[in-house]
Amino acid sequence: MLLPYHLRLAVRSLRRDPGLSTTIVIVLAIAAGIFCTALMHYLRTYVGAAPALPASLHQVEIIRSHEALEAAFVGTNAAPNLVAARQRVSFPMYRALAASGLPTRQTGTFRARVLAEREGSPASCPRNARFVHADFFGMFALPFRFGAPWTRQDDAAGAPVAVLGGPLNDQLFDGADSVGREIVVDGRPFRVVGVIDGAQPFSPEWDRSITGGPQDLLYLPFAEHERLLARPESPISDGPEGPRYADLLASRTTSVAFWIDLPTAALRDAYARYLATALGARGVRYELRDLTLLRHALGLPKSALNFFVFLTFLVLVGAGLVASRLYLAKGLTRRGELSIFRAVGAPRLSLIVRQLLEALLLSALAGVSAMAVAAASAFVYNRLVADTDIPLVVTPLAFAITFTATIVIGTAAALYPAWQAAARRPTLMRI
Amino acid sequence: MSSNVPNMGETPMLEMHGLRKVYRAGLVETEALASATVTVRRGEFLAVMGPSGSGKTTFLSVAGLLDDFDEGEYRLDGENVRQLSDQKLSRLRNQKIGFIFQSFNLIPDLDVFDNVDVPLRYRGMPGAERDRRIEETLAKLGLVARMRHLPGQLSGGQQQRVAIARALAGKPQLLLADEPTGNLDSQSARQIMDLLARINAEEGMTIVMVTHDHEFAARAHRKLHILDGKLIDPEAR
Repeated sequence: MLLPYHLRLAVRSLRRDPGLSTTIVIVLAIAAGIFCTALMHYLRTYVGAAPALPASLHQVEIIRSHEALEAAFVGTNAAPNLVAARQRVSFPMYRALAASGLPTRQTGTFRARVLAEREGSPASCPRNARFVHADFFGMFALPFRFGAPWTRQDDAAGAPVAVLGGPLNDQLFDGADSVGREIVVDGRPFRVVGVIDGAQPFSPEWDRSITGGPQDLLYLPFAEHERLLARPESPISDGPEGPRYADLLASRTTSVAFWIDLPTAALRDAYARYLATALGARGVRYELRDLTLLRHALGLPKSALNFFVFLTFLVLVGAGLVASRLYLAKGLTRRGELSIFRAVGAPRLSLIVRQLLEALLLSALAGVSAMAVAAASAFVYNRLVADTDIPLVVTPLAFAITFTATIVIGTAAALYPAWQAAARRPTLMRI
Repeated sequence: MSSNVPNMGETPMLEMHGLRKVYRAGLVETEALASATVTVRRGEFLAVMGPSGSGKTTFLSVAGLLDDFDEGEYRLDGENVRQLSDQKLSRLRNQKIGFIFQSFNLIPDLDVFDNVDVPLRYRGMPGAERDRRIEETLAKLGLVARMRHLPGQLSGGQQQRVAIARALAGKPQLLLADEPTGNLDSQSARQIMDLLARINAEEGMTIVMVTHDHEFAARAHRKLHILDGKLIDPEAR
């Protein structure tokens, strides 16, 4: 078996032409790093880091006429968020739906600005707080760095508990385990029971209307919104009928995304019958869609990002062409050695394999180095381009795709030079 | 010395008939070998002489399957080599032919052991057998102490002995030497010639050696001259 021998010779060859080898690695690594940076954007936007969720998650969607929605915004510069309009219900409707008792798990959720700080801190900053039920964390499989979600009992008892997002925990507690510590939200104390791990997906399943927006920094029990008088972010307004908070809650203004888990066909049938009575009989147009259908319907439209990923892939291919020229130069520097190998009986194919192995090693090195380029690029992006607080990170998927693309392009770039170098006739002449 | 030529088998080691080799550069054609016909018996030591540019190296290249030819027939150990695939030619070169080059052609960053190891690797020989053969060959050539030296750390004579060890380790039937003493001082050159003569005499290995040196050529069983690509056997006149 000549493969280990060829591998040894390939490693030796790398040391023999350090200048050319390093240049090939740098050229490929920079291009692959650029490609990886664009790819990270793409993956964050279109794939995200969301875990696999059960298709048994459903959402009740209310179908309204666009004309009616537009009418509510007449005289303003604003326009209705059509995704939010369809995916959210009003507080009264939420209360009615939540009382069915049919789903195995359910949660209402909306986001509002609150003042939150660690206990004893003089300053207090506005933060994005998401109001949810205990089931929310399990339904959307949010990973916990510390602690755990609060319980249904906490919900029922109105316990003042909170779950912090990772970034807020980093800000308030320097990333330490804050479980059991207190934070103050709008002047009320809340006990931290858990800390979410990692960043929020760019397009969170639980609220597609805020795709690309800032992260949920903390999670509070749904019922707390009344005590904190938390006003929902971006309500789709039919106009509250009075200035008080209670007027908003009583209005048809749509604010709450309502999620239910219906894991069996029997439950789904029962819930469909329930909706027909609760909504259909009252003339409300609605739809019950599971997560698979929702993902399909609410998939992000193709954007310029796709084109930029393609462009950066072309940059990587261009680097492959440059590498190809460098491999040709490498072949020239070693034509004597290859000629000796041919003379003593090495078949052409074995020399091609040997050179491709060398290219594979260089490409692997470039693929790994590209991660350093991508990480540095992501670091600069996260610092300088703050259009979102959802950071750009080198994910395993981005690494795997970039590494594979670098290996394939880097090795393919050596095909012609390897063939050409191996095709040279062996000679008796001085080499 | 032709009377001492051994006859170690009926099939000649090398048999060329009407061989023609033309180099083409654009519209210019140069006939490097013109209807070359020669037979080299097993165990024979043949010296090939001729002025520069006469076609000696081309003859050796074609004989060593390093280069193809345009016309004629060439049988190596009874096998017609025309139209053989690269794989088969490589195998023949590896198993039947050993090369000694004027400028040694050792791989500079492989030590002596690894240089000798190269052709054996392509034979698919087990590691232990390879090691045994290399050590045995290096011992025979007095190079055991230099086994882990790089070629650059050796004298010219020593480097040529390493090249000979590389050629001999695989126990080829045909040794092709292209001016093996051309880059050596007279003492080293004489030692190398003694070595080649001994290998031929003791192991019955067929040797075809290109040389300019009449003294060394005289040690061969037979001399062949090349002039303008034509082979001339002075003893056949």
